[in-house]
Amino acid sequence: MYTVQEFVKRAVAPAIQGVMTAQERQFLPEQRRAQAAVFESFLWLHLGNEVGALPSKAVAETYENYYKDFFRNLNARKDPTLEQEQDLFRSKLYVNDTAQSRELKATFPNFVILIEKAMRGEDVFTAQRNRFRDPEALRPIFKNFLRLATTLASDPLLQEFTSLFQFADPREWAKQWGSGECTAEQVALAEDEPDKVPRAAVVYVGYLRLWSYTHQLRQMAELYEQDRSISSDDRFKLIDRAKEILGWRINLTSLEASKRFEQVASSLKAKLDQQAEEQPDLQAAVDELKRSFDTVFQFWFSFATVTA
Amino acid sequence: MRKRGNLEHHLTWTDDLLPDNKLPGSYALLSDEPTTDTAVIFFHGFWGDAHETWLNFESMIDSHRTRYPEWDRSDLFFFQYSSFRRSISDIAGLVLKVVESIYPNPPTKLFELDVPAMGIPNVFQKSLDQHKYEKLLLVGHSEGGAVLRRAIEIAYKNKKLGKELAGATMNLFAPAHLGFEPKGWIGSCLSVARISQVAMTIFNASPAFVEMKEKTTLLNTATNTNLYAKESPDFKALRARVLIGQHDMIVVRGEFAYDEVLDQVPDQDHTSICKPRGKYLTPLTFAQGK
Repeated sequence: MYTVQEFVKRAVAPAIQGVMTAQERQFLPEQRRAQAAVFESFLWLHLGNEVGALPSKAVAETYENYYKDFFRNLNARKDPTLEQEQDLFRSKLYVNDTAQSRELKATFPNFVILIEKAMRGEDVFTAQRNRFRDPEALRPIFKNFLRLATTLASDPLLQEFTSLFQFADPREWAKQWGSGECTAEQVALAEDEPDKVPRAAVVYVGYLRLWSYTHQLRQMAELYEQDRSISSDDRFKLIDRAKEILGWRINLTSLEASKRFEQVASSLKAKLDQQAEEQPDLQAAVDELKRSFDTVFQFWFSFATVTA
Repeated sequence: MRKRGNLEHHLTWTDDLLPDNKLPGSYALLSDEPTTDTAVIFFHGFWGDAHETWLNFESMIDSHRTRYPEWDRSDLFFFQYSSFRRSISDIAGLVLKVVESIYPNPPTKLFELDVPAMGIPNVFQKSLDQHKYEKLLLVGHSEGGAVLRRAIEIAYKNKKLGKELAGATMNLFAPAHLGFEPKGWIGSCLSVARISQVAMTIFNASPAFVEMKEKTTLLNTATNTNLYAKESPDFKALRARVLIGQHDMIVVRGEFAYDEVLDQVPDQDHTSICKPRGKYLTPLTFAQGK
């Protein structure tokens, strides 16, 4: 019970509020990110309901109060001409997409069915379930993932990074990132005083935070792989679902996002190399950091292992 | 009392625990067992955080509750702090404020809903029963141990605090007095990301970092703690229980003269020592003072 309250207060309500704030500010990348954040929180609600960590009555009320309007507003006004035209060839249009709904589907390509069902006002909690064998056994693990996801979602510097890195148009990105120039001290300072440092410093912090959260997720996945009290099939499905839910923050399928990620990574590595050049006894430390960036981020592009 | 089968811990964020200090990232897992009488407070090391350092505790206290029922009557508090530009004494002062605010009477607001979650039916807005603690367990990892030692050293000289903390059990995983402060881009990467595992690998790889920050403070704490432990054998918190992994390569270890150092744990290193997983369940008993 307490878990669902904390989840609503820490993740759901701020995500919905985030959409409104972003609309007021009229900064498109932020609007896109805020919308994705709402859908991410919905996916945790969906998964929490399936494993029974969030009581189903509370889940239904949360959906009714927080998400119903959000999904309804993704629908475009019905176009009778288009509908008639469609009727000639097949049944009615499944949903009347808007730019926002198309964007959301592109951000979460694995959850298109769920998005469309929600837009149509259908029962969403029976769709795209994982069909775990023993969902009850997954509750503690789910809660651990949820805690990390909530931390990640409420990190303002990571939010800013995600808005720019995933959703900004090339002009906006170029304006904010510049040539990636800032000092190491500005990066450290960005945590406490983000408004007093160049935007590039905030981008570096976002990248480093993403590295840190990914490292934790990877460790959690590895630790759970050793837990024989849960069926390996269930474990695989849960870890995979958690990756699918969180993966939009590091979606490198677009050339632009992938280019930006590479830009930040290479620039940071170059700065580390420069430090090692000035102090050669730090070379091993720099090599270790660079190696860790590469291995940790690989997590998003690999699948969980299923042990026999 | 609730049926044992239904008991579990509930996450609540504690960043607002102290009125004057924000503690971003700090959280608690509160048991819904009404007779809960134990507060376990966890302190990470300088390059870790409240999440990564204690990975798996959060889920295993519930998933392994049949085998370790003592966790049912324990509330867990995971304290997060930033060591960047802060002295050990400063952090120790903050630690004491945190401990004072939790033990023996935790704030009522932790168990009540200050702001109900809008839209959730009342039946799900239930508060937990207020707990009162009789036992205090302080758990530290790496330099979290150094911070705890300094806190106890301060508390010993303070009548009120000393009385409250005298009976606390101090359980330290791989205590170390590192306090390194790498500069430049390496330092910024580590201070922003707070991944202790990576930080430790880097320290081991680079002897250049072996430069103890606040060496004097740490040496004084060691001297004073040993002295106090000798003069007050009943002041339990001055004598830590220490658990170290066989593959721990950290050279600046932090066990003191009157500590109880347990046998080295095979196959564990500096960062894995405090993470229960698979067949390695020792952290679940050690943190409970067993």
